[in-house]
Order: sequence, then C-alpha cells, then structure tokens
Amino acid sequence: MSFNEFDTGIYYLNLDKLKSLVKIELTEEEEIAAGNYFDFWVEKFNGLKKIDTENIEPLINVSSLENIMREDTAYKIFTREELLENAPEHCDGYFAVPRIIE
Amino acid sequence: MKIDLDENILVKGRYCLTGSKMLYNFKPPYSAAVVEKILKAGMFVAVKSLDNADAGLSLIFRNIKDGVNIKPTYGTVSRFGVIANASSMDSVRVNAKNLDDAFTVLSVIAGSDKNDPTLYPAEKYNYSPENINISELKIIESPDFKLKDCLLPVEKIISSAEFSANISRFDGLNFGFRPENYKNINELIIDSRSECFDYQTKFKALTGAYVLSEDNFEKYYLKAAKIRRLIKRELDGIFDNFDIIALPIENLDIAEALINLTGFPAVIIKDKILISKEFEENKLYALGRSLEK
Repeated sequence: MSFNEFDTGIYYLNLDKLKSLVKIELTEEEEIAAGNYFDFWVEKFNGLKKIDTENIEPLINVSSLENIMREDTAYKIFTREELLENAPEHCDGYFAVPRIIE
Repeated sequence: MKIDLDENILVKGRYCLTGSKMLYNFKPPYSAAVVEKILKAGMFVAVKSLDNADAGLSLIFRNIKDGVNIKPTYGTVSRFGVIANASSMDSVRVNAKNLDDAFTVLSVIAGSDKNDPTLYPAEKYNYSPENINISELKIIESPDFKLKDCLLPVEKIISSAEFSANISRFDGLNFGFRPENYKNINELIIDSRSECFDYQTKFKALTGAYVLSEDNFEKYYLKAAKIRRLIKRELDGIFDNFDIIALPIENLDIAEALINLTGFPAVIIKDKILISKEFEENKLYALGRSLEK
C-alpha cells in the first residue's frame, strides 16, 4: 500500500456504514458534529503518513510479559441466579432475547 | 482510610452507573480486585464523595484541588473488575491529598491477582523513596522529541480502536438497559446503545470502527501501532540519559498520551507532571515529595 492512498476530503467517510458496524444511530445534531469530528481527526491521522515505519513491528501492548499460565482448573465464581439477576429479561434460567429465527 | 472509587470500578452488590444509562440497574456480582485488596487491608470504600475520602481510584486523571495523582506503571495494578476503556493503556490511578497517602494506597492495590494475567511480578515494583538522593536525579524539563506531534493522533487511533471493541458488550441483551418496542434483535441492540451512549462515546466508537475497518486497518491502526513503538523507543532513549521527564500541567494532554502509549508511570503534583521509566515510581515519589514542601 502506498502512502498516496491516504484519503482526504468529504468522500472518505461512509457514516452509514460505520453506524451499522457500531450498531448505533445518531441524532441529526450528532450527525453534523460527527462530520466535524472526523474532519478534524482524520486530517491529524493522515499527518502520520510522513513518519517512516518501514520494518518497524507494531507495538500492540507495552507489557513485555509473555505466557503467564495458570492451572487449568474449573471453579465456580457465580451462581446462575446471580448472573440472571442483572438480565433485562430471563426465562426458565436463561437469558431471554427476541426471536432470531423465523 | 476511606477510598473513593470511580464508577467504572465494580463493587459487589453496589449499583454501577459508569455515568451512563446503559448500566442503570446493573449490580455487579463481584468486586474489582483493587476493592478486595482495599478491604483486606482494613481500608474502607467511601460512598460517592471525595469530601469524606482520603484517596480515590480512577482510570483517568482526576484534578483534585491541592492533591496529587499517581499513574503507576502499566501492568502493576489489577484491572479485574474495572470496566475496560482502552485495554493496552488502562491503569488504575490513585488520587490523594499528599504523596504519602497516595503511595500507601498504591502499595495496597498493586500486585498479584490471579484474574489479571498481565501483571508484572511485585518484586519489580519500587515505592520506597528513602534511598533516592534527589540532588543526583537527572531531570529534563519539557524535552523536545521528534515524535511529539504524533502522540495525540496515535493515542486517539489506538484508544478508539480498543474502546470500540470493549463497548461491544453493551448491547441490552444480557445485562443493562433494554428499550421497549423493538421489532427484532438488531433493533433492540441499536436502540439500547443509541439511547444510552452519549455523543462522545458514540464518536469514539465510530472512530474505532473507522480505523479498524478493512480499508483503514493498515494505514491507520497498524501505522499508529508502529509509531507507538517508535515513540517508546525515542522515550527509552531519553531515559538512558535522564531519570525524570518534567512537563508543565499545561501539557496534560500530551503527557497523558505519552504515559498511556508507553506505560510509563507518572506523578502529577501541583503544576508539574513527572514521568519516569517503568518501575521507577520511587524516584517520582522522592522528587514529588520535595515539591510538596
């Protein structure tokens, strides 16, 4: 991928697609503000293209720890009742959600 | 001592609001590891009020008048039971009226927890300022480093990406707010999130989805993660020659991005932000104490 492929301008953003990915709706006001917000930040993000990162490994986590293992033993932290206590709807000991298969 | 907790730190059986309608009725079935440690040490959890608390715990910097704030080295305080924000940066921080109190609390909450495998062994931590001669500390004030301008955009990209993934659990299905009058499961999820999230949460989640999406992953997320490594390298280079970086409080946003991206510890005291390399909280303690006087 070449750096020239960094997009700029209004056409970079498909807000409807993003909203469906994040599963949110925006109010009319939020929609306008989101446009300004993205204009501001994407310009700054595009500014990063000038930094040479050839052969640099991404740093996903600063921790240098590796493979901390624990015993693979089962233990019970919660009862079913405790977990269902926070459910907006439950039925016969299960979380209840709207039907997903017609 | 009474310790105040931010709302994203869970206490068993106590309503957790996270400042959002999303968890308006959520009663955690367990407490955060830091809460268990506080109680075990004979300290108390204060009812939401900093006025009657000696210290406070939070994920973000809380500006306490005449107080101090410690952001410990990443991976030294358990995040179990702390609602995740940006997982590779989240560190439970301590606010207090003075550094002695703040470090007393940090000593209690830091260290091993079987539920957080990202913790460094406690032998590495050092909260004892006694052996530090502050006249020998090499301090650099507001260093000018090459990648300074990248700090905010890189932090924004990475924190938004992680945030966006972390809040996917808030969907109105298993816990939290569920709206009425939905036609199907998708509408339920969208309505619960749209109604509960404020615009900042929505924008951050959208930004995360944007930088992680197929077309943008490499040019934004991966690029930022690579620059994060360069930033860490450049700062490590500064710490080869200096013990502490000092920044004025006016540079708080830059300093926050720096410590979040690198995992370095910091002490914020009066109008100064003091940053050291990992596990050198004792130097920050010693220098900070001299500024308190």
